[in-house]
Amino acid sequence: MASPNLPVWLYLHFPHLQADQLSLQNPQTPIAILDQGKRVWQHCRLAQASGVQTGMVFTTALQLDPELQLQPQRSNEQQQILAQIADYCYQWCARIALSFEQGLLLEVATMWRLFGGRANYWQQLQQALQSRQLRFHAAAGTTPMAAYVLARAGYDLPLASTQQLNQQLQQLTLQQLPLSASQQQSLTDVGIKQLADLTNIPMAQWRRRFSGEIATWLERLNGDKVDDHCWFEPPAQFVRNWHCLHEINHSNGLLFPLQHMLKELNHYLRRRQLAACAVELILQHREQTDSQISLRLAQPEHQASEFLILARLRLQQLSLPEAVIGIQVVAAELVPQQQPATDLFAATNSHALDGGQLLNRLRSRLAPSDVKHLVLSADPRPERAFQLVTESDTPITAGTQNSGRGDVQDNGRDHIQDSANRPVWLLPKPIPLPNQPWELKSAPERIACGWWDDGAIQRDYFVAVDQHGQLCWVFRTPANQWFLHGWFG
Amino acid sequence: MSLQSLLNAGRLWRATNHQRVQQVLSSGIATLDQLLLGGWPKGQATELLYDGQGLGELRLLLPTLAQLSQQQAASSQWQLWLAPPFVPYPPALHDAGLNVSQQLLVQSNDVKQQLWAAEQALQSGSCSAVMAWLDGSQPLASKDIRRLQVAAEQGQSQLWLMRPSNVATQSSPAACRLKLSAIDEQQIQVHCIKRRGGWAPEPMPIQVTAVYPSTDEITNSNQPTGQIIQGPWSGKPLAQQA
Repeated sequence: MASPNLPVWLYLHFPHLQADQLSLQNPQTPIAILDQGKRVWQHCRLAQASGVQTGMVFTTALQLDPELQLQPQRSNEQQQILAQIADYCYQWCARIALSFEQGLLLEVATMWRLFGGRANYWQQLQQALQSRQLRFHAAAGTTPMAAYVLARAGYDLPLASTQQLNQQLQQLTLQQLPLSASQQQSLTDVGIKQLADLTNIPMAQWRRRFSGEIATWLERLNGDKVDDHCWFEPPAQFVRNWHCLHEINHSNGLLFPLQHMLKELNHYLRRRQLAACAVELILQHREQTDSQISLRLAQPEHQASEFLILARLRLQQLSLPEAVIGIQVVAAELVPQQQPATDLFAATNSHALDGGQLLNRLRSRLAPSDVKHLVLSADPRPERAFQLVTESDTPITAGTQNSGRGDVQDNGRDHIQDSANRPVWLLPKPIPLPNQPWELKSAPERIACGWWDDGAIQRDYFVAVDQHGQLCWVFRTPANQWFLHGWFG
Repeated sequence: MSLQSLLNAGRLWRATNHQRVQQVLSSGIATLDQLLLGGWPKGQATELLYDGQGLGELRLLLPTLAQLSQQQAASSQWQLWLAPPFVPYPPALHDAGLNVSQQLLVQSNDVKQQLWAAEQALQSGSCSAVMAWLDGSQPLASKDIRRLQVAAEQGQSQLWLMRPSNVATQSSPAACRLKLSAIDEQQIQVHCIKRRGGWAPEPMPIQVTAVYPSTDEITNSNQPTGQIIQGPWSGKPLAQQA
């Protein structure tokens, strides 16, 4: 850490966090957040324009703007939004603390050199923060508490010098300090009006006169006591919540919020150079249990547009059991991104998809069991010489195979002689030969095996021609029964 | 009906729009290439009209599919079997030189879904070949075939539409239409109803790969041949033919 006399801390205070976030999702609606006493605690820009202020009784606010949407205070939601902002700021700052209720504490001095000085650094951080469209106050400080107190009081001093900061700090009135009403009262009673009055009293006298809590707070402000902060660590999975102001009745209405959330997923994945194997959409209802839609991908994907197409295909088929009041998007299975090798000179095709993307779309629109891969297996019994794989856990791309399968494929066919021809069409099950003349055309091929499991067979296979000149594959069992098993298409 | 509406509906061709150099894909069978004026029209829809199965309809295609499957550029592409009447048997495909891991089988009961899947696959450019059996209870509409034809051109994919032979009299926007009928085990009668760049020629027999060893090998071994069987259903022994 740099010298303690430098303002190494930066505190970002978001006075209208919850309201601003809701207003991002519903840009046309004026929103106010009420505290427990039914007073306006936060409001969005639209509400502010019509005269709504913090501390107002909600009935007054409603008279000022009858359209106003009132929402209760949700501190856990605020913490989630703060975590998202921290996640976003993580590319500019390595040490971010989530210890405060309405803001983030950043340890910035270590980053100055990387970004070419304090001013440059702030410029970049400011731009990034402004792009989130949340109102904030930023203040630097030599101690975390000092930065917190200034930003909370509504000062914007991100680049001030230590001297300026101290001066500003001393002028703060008692009401601007984060002290409880009773603590403020006890200080007012002895004639203290601003912070300067308080800091002029020697600390030793302090302890005797006032409660220990004020003393502890002052120690934190001066830096005599070092706080323990829980530092932000980027989460290993992506989770986003969307709180709907209006219930969504039709599945098409879900696309707008989903578009926003998937775009965030896109940013999240791009920053980490990751790709998602699956995305879960959880639709919250008022009464019924949540509906869950999982988009499984044949190939890890990171583009929002691709997720959105898949979501749209799934939502088209979905009929909502009940109106949706909230949406959650979770991407837990993340793998490193791999860029496919593409042909630089290939003709451009605006609809071009890679094999995995096509597979994703087919699986999303059709039933998952409708799309199958063919896999060879090493079994001499014709009906067991292959498998139809509907949906595998491991991503399969055309032309590439797991090493295991590749081995099976080669072994499976190499031990059978070249002369042993197989029909291109195989019937799902052998059927008894229909009652019409057939002409046998080939020497029999005896397949007798499977004694090691319950599927033992003994069959003599022939190529035969029916009366229409169609070539087929028939066999005879030891009981002299004849069956049709395939066609030479 | 005005000239413009005929042009818009695609029922009238302008010679200036005609692609002089038609790209083709060799079918791997010399006589068929000759019939098709070089090979399958590349990035186009081709109709194969036949009834039943087992007359060599796929043996006509397998050399092309094998070639597409082995090409470097196509190695990361699918070959899509859309609603085939039976399962394409992987060992046989492997023997014909196809890469089994590229084969994708899509079966859906809904014709609309099938058409959607076909269009997506063709447009995507990630399918080197699409074999589709789309005529269900009623034959495919001309506009659907046109859509697929356009999608195939867009994605430069090969589309083979397998259709019953009774639709031969209906017009179709497909670039090439072949009517197949069986001659014997190694030959198919191919009647080219429509091809681009030439008049429809007379039907001609096309040699395809044999599925069993030649007659000489069989006579050398002491196996019975040319046997008529009548099945076990009557309980009678097999009727032998000398």
